[in-house]
Amino acid sequence: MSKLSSIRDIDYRQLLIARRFSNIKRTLFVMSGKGGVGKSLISALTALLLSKSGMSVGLLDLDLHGPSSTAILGIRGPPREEETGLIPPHVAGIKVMSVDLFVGGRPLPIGGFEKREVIRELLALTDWGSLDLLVVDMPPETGDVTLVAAEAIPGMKTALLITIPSRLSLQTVKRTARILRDMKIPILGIIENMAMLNIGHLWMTPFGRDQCEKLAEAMNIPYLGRLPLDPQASQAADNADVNALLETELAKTLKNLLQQILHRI
Amino acid sequence: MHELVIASGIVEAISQYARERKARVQSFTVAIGEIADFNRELVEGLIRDLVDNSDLKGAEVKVVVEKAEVRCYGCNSLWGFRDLIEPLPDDYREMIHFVPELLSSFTKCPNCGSQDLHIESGRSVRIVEVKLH
Repeated sequence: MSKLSSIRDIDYRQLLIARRFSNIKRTLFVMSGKGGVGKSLISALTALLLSKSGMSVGLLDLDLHGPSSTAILGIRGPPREEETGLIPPHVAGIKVMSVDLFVGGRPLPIGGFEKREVIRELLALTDWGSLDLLVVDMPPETGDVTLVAAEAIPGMKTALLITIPSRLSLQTVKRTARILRDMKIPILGIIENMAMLNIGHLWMTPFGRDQCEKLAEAMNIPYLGRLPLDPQASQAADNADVNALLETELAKTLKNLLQQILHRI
Repeated sequence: MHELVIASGIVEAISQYARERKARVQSFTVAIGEIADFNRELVEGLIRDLVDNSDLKGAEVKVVVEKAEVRCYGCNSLWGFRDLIEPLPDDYREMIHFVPELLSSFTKCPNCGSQDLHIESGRSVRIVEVKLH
């Protein structure tokens, strides 16, 4: 006797995704929940710094409405098509995938269901090869993209939270941390961006010192430290100058902060 | 060129599905959506070749083309391939070929100009039916 199977059970992309991620040791979600905290710049710099330390690293930009990795790193698409899938372009040792490689600066006005389809397609088709780490620049939300990325990406997943020293940002990061815990994704730590200002060779903390540390302690999340508000990093990103970006105070400070979690990524 | 990845994913996914149910595949049907604009002969040929070299050998393979239906949420119009995809330049069509949802970046509703376009049918390649025995 023959029977009609339920086609909802067979999405071949999930099999392709599992095949891709069997060659990727770990995935690191860089998240904030809120926009404008420097998450994309920190994602790109994290990928660049870890690549320079000898790891094989990919960067996946899942901010579908405001992808900026391509602009920060100065790359353009489309990705090369091969029999094995879509080959992400390389820059300074890292492989990068973003919808911006396809749409080239155009807006992508799509809703939740379509976002899920785009992400599954990118995960299924991108041929990363072997990676030690895939850094995922997550959008400023905790909705469809977060849910589908957490569900569809197999293997070892961890998260890094980025905030700025403001009550609004901290409230959002707190919600993001709760969702990550519900999804059983370990949080490696929280980084407080734009928290220091260099004035006359002195590092000042004009936006307060302990809000983020207190939140981290209350939520039992490692507080990794502060990053400076760095105009040179902003300029290097605007100019898509990767070499200049790696020489900035922001890059040097982030490199030190990442040392604390290197053993877990 | 990435048709091979998709064809191998389809064959492997169906094979795995049958294995998990300790059954054999009698037939399966794959729909090729108009929007991704795959070459039907190429995809079908790849699937048949892969089936012949897998534990699905002997299964009946059916391939159908699924018409594009794209709904504009601005004015509720329903559009087909000839309305939305065919008029686009080749480089835009290639991007939609990779990821069909990107059509919202490259085209608008011919009636009201909205980009609030939603694919209702004919997206890309998908498995529509598997018969086990």
